[in-house]
Amino acid sequence: MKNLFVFLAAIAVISPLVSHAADLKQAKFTQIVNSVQVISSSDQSQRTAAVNDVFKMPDVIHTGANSRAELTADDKTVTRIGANTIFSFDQANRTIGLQQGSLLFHAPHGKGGGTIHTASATASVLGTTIIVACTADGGFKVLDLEGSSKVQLPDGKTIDLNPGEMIFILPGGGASPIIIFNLGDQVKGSLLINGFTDPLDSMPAIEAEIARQLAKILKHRYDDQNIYTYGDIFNRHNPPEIIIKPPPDGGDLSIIPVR
Amino acid sequence: MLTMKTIKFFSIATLAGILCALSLQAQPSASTAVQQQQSIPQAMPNLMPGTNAPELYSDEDADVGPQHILSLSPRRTMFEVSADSEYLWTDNALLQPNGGVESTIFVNTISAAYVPTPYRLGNGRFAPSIGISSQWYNYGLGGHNLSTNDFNVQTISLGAKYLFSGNWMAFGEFDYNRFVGQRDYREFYHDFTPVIGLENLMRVGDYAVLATTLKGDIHDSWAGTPLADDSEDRGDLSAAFSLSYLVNPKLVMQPYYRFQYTHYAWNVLHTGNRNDFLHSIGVSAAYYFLPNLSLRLFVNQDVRTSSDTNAKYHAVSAGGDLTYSIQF
Repeated sequence: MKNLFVFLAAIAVISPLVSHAADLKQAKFTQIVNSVQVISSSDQSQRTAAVNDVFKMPDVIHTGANSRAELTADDKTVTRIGANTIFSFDQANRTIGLQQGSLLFHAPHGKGGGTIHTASATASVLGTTIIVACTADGGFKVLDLEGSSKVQLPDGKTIDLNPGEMIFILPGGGASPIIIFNLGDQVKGSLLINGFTDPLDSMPAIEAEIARQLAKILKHRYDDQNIYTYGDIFNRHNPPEIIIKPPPDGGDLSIIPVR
Repeated sequence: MLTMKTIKFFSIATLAGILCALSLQAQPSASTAVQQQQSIPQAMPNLMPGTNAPELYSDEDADVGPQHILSLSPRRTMFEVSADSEYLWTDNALLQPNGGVESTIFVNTISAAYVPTPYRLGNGRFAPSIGISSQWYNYGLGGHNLSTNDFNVQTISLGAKYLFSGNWMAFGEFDYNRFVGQRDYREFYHDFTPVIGLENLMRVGDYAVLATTLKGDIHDSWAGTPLADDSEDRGDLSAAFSLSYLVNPKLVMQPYYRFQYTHYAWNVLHTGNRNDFLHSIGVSAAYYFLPNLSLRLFVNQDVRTSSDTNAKYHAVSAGGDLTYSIQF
């Protein structure tokens, strides 16, 4: 009952970020791995999804074990669905309903972003790549891979995430603090990113964020306190060059810095 | 006939059997266990940097990817204070064309700056800063006459950086540097230096970043030399490349190369202008005892050619520095 209330509360939150965007009610299967079923909402019949099939609201996608699917909308919004996932487009504008499992969502800049509803929380993005995972009993997790995202928690609190940051909720529990995770390791080990033939359009942006985070790791700066200039090694650690000139009249040396 | 020992054994066995039966009776069925697991709030695990965030369900990591925790709850900070102590040896302390005078140099630096956590601005992030620093240069520890030239550098710096998408960063800075002798604290040089630059970070493999930095500056200077006050007016253009490689979680190696072109308004004898071409190549190794405490060792070689034969030089230096910084 509590989860139902939370779900309804989450549904009521519609991000202002997406209010003027083109709608997201259907998309085409562009990649399929193993078993992906589409369940018709009208007669509950099942059919096996195939590449180039069009998936529409309010039908439901159910992926099997070790199975994945990629959907691409007309505006190039990409949704990748992981194994054992139940997924559908929502009635609300540019909104996805994730009942269980995992998905990767990427909306190109200027296309209105999107919102992913789960049983316990909502994630809204605008021109960003995120991964959302959830369980039917209220477990929730969102990872920001590039761009920024906004998370609406069950208690109504809103949290902004930056690239390389995540937050999760355990079933029946509270929210974790914001966690900075190793983006390079996560991307390398994710089938939602690497388990498809074609790379994501946002991969260059993700790679750039990995490089930026690695630069901080190298500087032992995990807390986002500074943008470092790596060329500063020459100014931070080396003294200014000094020219010491013997003056013509034989007096004191003149010390001239040359930085 | 039952012995006392046998009776004791059967008594214990019977009691154990009763306890076991009670225990089994208390265990729920598999389906009940699942229901209880779903209804009982799960305690938040002890999240620590160096561990992984927990999976919500089995095999979640296969699709989502492992979430290795680097840090928790990023916090905004406003100020940074740092102290650095460096000791180096050079084979050409006077930067003379033919080399000759070796020296050690002891450089101590303290700095304080207002450097708020970068703000989101447009599609990027904006990082303003304003700071002051003071450096003490002491020559020839171990004894020779260069120590008469010990001096201090005082700097006020105002700057800003903007990080674009794709890891390009533009930066601008305005520095005021003032040099005073340690004997009488008389100012013998100062300059106003606007700086602009562009930097790109590119990941190379899993553990290395290549930084490319292009920078230009102009030094509007005053020098208390016998020749002329403006004898050190100059402009620099430089291109620097450094590869930072994470050897292990505490050790970073950084080979680097920099080329710098400098145009001076005046040559050494003040009879015309001059153009210098400086090549610097070296490698450093920084060991982080703590995130804010590091020891760095380095070796560097400078080769400068010039249109003025008096300004050519070649120098090798090596040393180490200990840096501590805090942010709040």
